[in-house]
Amino acid sequence: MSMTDIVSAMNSTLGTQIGLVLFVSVFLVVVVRMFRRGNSVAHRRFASLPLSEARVVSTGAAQKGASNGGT
Amino acid sequence: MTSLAAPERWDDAARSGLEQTFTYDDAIVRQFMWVTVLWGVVAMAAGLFIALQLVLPELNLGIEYLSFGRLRPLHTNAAIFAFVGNGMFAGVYYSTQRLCKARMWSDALSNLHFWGWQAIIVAAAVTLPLGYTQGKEYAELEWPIDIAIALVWAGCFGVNFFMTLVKRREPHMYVALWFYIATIVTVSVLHIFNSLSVVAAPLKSYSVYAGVQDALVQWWYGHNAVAFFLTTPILGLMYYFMPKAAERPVFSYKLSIVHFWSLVFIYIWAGPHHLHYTALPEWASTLGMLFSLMLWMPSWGGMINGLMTLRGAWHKVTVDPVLKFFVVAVTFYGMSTFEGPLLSVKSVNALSHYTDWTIGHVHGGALGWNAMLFFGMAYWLMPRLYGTTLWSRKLAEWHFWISTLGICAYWLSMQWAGITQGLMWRAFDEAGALAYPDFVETVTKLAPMYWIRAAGGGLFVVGMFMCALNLILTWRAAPKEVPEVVYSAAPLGSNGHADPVYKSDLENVIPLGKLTDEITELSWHRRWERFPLRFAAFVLAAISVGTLLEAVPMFAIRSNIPTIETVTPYTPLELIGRDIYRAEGCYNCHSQMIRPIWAEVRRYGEYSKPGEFVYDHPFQWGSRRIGPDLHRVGGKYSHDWHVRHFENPRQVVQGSIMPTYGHLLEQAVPWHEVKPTMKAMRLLGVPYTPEEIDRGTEAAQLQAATMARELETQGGYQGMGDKKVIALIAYLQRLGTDISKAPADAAAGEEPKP
Repeated sequence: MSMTDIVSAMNSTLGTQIGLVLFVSVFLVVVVRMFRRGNSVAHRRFASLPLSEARVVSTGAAQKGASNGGT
Repeated sequence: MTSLAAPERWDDAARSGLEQTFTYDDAIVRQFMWVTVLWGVVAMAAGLFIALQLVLPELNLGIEYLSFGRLRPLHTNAAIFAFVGNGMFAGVYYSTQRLCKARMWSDALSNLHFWGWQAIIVAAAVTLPLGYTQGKEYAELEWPIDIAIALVWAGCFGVNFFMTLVKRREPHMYVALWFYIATIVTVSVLHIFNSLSVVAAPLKSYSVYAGVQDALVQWWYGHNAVAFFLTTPILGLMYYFMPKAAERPVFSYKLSIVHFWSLVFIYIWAGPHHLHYTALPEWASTLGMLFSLMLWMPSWGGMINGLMTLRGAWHKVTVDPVLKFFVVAVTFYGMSTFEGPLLSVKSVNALSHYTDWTIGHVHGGALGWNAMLFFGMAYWLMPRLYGTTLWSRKLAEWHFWISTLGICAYWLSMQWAGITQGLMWRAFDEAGALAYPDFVETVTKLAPMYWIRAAGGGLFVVGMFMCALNLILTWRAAPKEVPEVVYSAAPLGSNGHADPVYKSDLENVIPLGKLTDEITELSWHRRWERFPLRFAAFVLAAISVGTLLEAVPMFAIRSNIPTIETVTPYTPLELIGRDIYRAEGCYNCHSQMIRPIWAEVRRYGEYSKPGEFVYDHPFQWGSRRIGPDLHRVGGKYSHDWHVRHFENPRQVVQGSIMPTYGHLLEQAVPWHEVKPTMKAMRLLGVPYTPEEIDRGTEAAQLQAATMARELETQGGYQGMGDKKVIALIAYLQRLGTDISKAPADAAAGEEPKP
């Protein structure tokens, strides 16, 4: 019995149903997690990450457009 | 219950040791920014040129390399992979370093990525006009370039990006990085599986999939190229650059996470909505529609999150061109992601498919969403990259208004054109006959809309030049020496990538209760959120669900593609003709798929069956009807009509906007390609015998000579027996004729089987 035989014998909507169940399950887990009260503080911090730069130590000079080396 | 989200738990105690100093590699960002501007000019100018060809068909001056069919793939590839791609890389390199508080892992890989990608673009710009194409939309590039794309994308960009995440100094991976991860992982998967092909020559290959299956894989790729190349990375840029420009944190981090996971899971299912009412099985098409409708919600969640990030900063929008561009970009994201699900509804799609409405839709996304976001990013970023201010805010304002006007004119005119086309194609008179039986009537009617589209596109090109000018003058006005900033941050400690595992402190409960508490606290989720490779594996799992649940039944269920006894492989000459059809990019204007819709059956003939395409490597169903469908064109016109039509379409169809193909009447058939092509087809399962392959060239020449004699008796040109036009006509005369043969006719040409 080949894979083709097995899948051909299946109801063609079965895959869709499995997919939907998986999606809804994962979606609910994500939503539950997001809206747990305990996560609010962390999420406020994460939301500001683009605004929090690393500390500037010094500002030197380099040629316009030159590659800036690492340390 | 103890929460792990308390700030002190996130500040890793192990990081209290030595701080490290580092710089960012902004040189690579600058490089990517400049090539984005360069390729933006090229892509948009090419788009304008081919848009004008639809109202001025002689504009290609009879030069084969400048015809619509060959330049349209150049335009789309340049816009997607050169303009948006390079812009995405610039933004990703800039934001990733800042969000990770780390320099890119390898400068060498960054540079290899940059130069490798530019080499790929140049290779595409050379090969596509020369007619080297795999014949699949947005995946036209031939196999050596495909391999280079995979190496540069995954080997340079992917490795460098993931290693930067591994070496980062910021414990949490911000949501923009999640979108970048999804982009890198998914585009790799899409590109590799859609590009699988059998090589026939140094610049010629054939898709391993055929017909319906090829169509499903192609639109799984095509739609998700939109999703994971043109959407997820741009959303990542939105989540980074909008808060920066507005100086406000993102409105809702929770919403961004729901947005991310919903998008990643749902998008991958939506591809079949490109194939409604085609020979694709209905279950797959319906699935694509339902998931497309579901996409509306996360997409609008993202749009609302973007716009609401400007809360308290709307007054800045009136004076800051950067925010203006961002607002319009995000608004276009919202409009495009509303229009997309709308177009995926079967009844709407029956009207809109093959029309210019789809073209308007994709340009709303590519120009309104992608390009406008890039412009905002460029005006914000370039002054910072050169330690100066923007040369002219006023010029940026002008650019904004001209571009906005341009894209609105483009979008609306194409919607107008598309609905007009769709309605004319399906219009019947009182007697029940087609109201516009001549296809060309539905073409000439669109000329005013095409002019407006060209004008809108022209405005956008002008805006692109204004952007280039502004950025060049910003660079010229910058100080000769750009300040190099050295930063400092603590490294992640030995356990820096991991949160402590949550242990339940519930008392007086059974062990199962404690276990449930620990699982539902979901610290496991937060832990793998911080592990880039593990996170990538979960993204891969999310996209695999939809892919496998659509692809496995499609490939495995026999009833999807019922066999048709009379459908036989192409003759050697027809195969070569099919290659010419592909090289000239005919699929850019003509479909080969008659839907089971009454107006189509009346216009073109019997609707297309899945079993008719089993030898089509690649499928050539197309997605537009600038010209009529060709699936039943076989036997409809004489050889002579076809030759004159190719020589100058307006000789036989007044008002036609098809380019001239005079070169097909002059260039010789590449006879040497017959055998390698047949061998490649045999490898793919097409039942050519070794003897048939050995005699392939002679058989092709014999058929060509016979057709040339028929052409002469029809009063046509002499001496066409070795010209490309004969091979192409042989292919066209075969199209769609197999199902009208009696089984005995089909078997007549075959050797008797023992």
